[in-house]
Amino acid sequence: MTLQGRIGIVVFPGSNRERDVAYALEVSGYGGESIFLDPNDEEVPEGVELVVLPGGFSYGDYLRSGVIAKVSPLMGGIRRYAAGGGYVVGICNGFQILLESGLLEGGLVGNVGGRFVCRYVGLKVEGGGFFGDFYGAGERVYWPVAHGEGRFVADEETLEVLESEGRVVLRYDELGGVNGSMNGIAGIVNRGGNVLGVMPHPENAVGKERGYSDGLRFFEFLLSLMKVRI
Amino acid sequence: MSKDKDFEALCTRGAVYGLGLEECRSVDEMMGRTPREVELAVIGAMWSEHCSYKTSRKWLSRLPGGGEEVVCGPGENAGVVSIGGGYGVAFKIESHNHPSVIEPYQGAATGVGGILRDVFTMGARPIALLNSLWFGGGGDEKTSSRMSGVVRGIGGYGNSIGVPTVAGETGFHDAYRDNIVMNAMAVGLVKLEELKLSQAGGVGNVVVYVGGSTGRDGVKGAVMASAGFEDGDEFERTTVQVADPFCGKRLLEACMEVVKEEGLVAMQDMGAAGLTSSSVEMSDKGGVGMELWLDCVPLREGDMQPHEIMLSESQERMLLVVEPDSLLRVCEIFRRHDLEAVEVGCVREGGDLRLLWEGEEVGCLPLSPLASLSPLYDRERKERPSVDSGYEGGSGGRSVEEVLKGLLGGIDLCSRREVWEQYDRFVGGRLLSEEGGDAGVLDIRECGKGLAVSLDSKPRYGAVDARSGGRAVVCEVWRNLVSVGSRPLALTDNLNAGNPEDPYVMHDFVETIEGMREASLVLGLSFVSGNVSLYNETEGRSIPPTPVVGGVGILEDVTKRVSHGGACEGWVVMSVGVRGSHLGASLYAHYCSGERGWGKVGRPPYGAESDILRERVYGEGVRRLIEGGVIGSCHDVGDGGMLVALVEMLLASGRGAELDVGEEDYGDHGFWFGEDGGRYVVMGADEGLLREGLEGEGLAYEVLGIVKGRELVLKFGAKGISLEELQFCVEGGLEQEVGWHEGF
Repeated sequence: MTLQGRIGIVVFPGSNRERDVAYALEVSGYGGESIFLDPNDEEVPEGVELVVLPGGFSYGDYLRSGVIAKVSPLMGGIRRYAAGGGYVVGICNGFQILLESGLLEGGLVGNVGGRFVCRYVGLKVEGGGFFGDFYGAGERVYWPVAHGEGRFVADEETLEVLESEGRVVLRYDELGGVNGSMNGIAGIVNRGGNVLGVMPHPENAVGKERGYSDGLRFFEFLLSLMKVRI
Repeated sequence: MSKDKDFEALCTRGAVYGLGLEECRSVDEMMGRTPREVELAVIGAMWSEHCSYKTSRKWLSRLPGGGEEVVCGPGENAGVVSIGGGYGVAFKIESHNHPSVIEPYQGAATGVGGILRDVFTMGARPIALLNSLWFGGGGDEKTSSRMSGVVRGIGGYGNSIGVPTVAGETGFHDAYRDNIVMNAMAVGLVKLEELKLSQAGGVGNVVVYVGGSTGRDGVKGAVMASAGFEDGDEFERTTVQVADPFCGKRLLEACMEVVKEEGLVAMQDMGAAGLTSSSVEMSDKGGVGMELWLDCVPLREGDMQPHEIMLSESQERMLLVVEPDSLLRVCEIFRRHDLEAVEVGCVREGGDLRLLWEGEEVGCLPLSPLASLSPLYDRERKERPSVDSGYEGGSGGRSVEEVLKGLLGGIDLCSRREVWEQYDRFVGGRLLSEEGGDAGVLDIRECGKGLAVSLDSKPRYGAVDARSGGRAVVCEVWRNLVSVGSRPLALTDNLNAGNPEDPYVMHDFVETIEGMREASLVLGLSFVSGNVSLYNETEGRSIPPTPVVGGVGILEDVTKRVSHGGACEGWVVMSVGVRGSHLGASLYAHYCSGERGWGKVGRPPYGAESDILRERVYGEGVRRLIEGGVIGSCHDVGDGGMLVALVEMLLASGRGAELDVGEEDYGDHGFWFGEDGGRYVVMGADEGLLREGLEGEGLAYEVLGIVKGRELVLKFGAKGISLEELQFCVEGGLEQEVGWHEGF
């Protein structure tokens, strides 16, 4: 089988922002075709240089967000892929799945206030320089959130480790956050720096038309991670 | 003697399925024998108000339906209009008023699911949802909890299935304390060559059942929605269906694949009256017979009777007609999405719907008489005695500024942020418009255009004068579509009304339609789909006529759209249209008189057909000036009048304004708060160009002042109101007025 592109977007049954991600990559200058990965496959296909777990309600998320997706065959493959240094990015539901799978530490639970919330939020890019030149340290960006279970929680020790190792890369820039996340956490990376989870949606902030295009650089950053430029 | 007895028995049995005396006579004539249980059930459902439109059919045909861009008019699952480039937009509105009273969350969620299926069953991918909600006047727990449930239900389904909710309205009035209005509209994008219709055909073709299994939920839902509420009815929970958005999502994705299959002849959602209406409508439209093998239908409960299977309204189900050669491929597509696809019958010659159980006939209905003998009522109508409310006007000594602040914080105008923040507006990545705007604007990148969508109602006017209300709601949608720079294309409507057996209600119903007809004819718009919800009454109290109208408009160049925000310092502020003066039935009149009851403060605008003509002239002119780039920001004048529109624009822009009106204007409350039609507030960088443009179009206008600073000053030397104060008035109103807060 010849690959159409080198970015894989996992489409769980119930995922609903896979096309949004593909579009965001496209307008960020990605010339290849995004391939949609089947969660029933065992492995990430050869040659895929970046795997994105998009937002949505995987398997309906009736029990707890991401808890079913975690046991899908492909998640095993993604664990192996990540262990080999492959880049994995989870957005919203994808972030929830990465946490459930143990690829990132902590958990996401129901928002304070008990409601689904959808609005643009101000986010502070943390100072660790994770995003390189794409976002300046301390920069304020606007992405929308759309989630019911986005409150980041972790035990004290985990929180301490995440903070001290500079692995919190994105924080809600309002008191208490939009959902009550501990330390206002909106995005974290793993120790290897190759697994990234963010709760807000950069893929819905790529319209220069709409005024907010702060999400573009997120995807430009992802593309910069890939070995061969298209 | 025995014949009479037989008929009496038939009437007793028919009543269980909502069939009246006259209708039982038709049953007798049609069947010529004692009908079996499942046959009665099918007839009862098909002849229910919900499926047969027996009260409204006669009048619905008054609404214009054709047009150059119309691909599919009323009668299909959804209406379709062409937007060029080989693409079309499929859209429709549906009500779930009765179920949302009984079980708010599920009622609303299944309402959203149902209208989405109507759209994607045609091969259109849903790209937007809208809703119109009316609740009780607030302050009581019933209203709060219903509102909470309905809003959560809409979000629960739409957010999960991944279709953004981009526009809508939420209203409150005591008239809806017992009967809420929950209308949902869905808009889908379809490649016209992939458009699928619901007409069965091809003798020997296979009938395929797809989706969730059939349970007892929703049995007799169509009959339930065709009657009013009596005390204790709220506990009829078994008539409400349960939503499964995850299943809906899989069904959506599978259907998007299946429509590309050549051998798919027809597809229809199993909505109201489930298997009954889908099979009857598909075969009747195709002029063919159909055979259904009920024992093959996947059941949730093993002991279900044929009539229960035929009436079940279990959600997330579709009926397909497929050529035998394609059957395997079609079933495989559904199986990949983890959905059951089962052969449950076939298309036959002749004109009967035959129902079989393990090969044995349990029912047989002649399709053509089922349609032709379908009851058609011309119900008694009677005009309400005209009440002279004796409204005198006056502000009770309040200044313009005081009235403004009171209106902004009042229940009718205060921010609905807490409602729409629970809806995912961004999924799909198409939304271009700002929140709170006149219409949602979507990016149709497939053909390089923009699509504007809007949904509105005007029951405050309709409650006083149904015809004016009908005119006003169509005009409001027109203005909303124009205000973002789009050319209105077509409409969909949901007529919500009370008990039509009340001659006053029936009179209003017809008047509403006539008003809508007049307006849509003048504006050159047709209704391509629609729905009717009658019997919105509890213990004899009917809701006022509440037509909800949705519209779509096209922007040939999406970069030329405007919003109600985005004004810059120094821009000129103008009002376009006749000078405001009409305060009858206005929000101003209600606020200043302290009278909440509709119909007590004078007559609404749109009392004459000439008001509509003006609407057209001004709408077309304003749209051209937006297209030409002369108007930089635009908002139509509606509820609350010109000043409210102006303030909404300033808040959206985060800027103040310095107006300079004369002393006489300043004291003229009709000027500020009148709700006359055909008016807009516009702002732009170049006053000269604006004047020239407006004069060229022959439109009346008035220069009000300029965008400046962070205060609103109404006349030279008057004390300004800060943006913060205006914002404070608008926010928080919902909590104060409805008692709706976090946790609900």
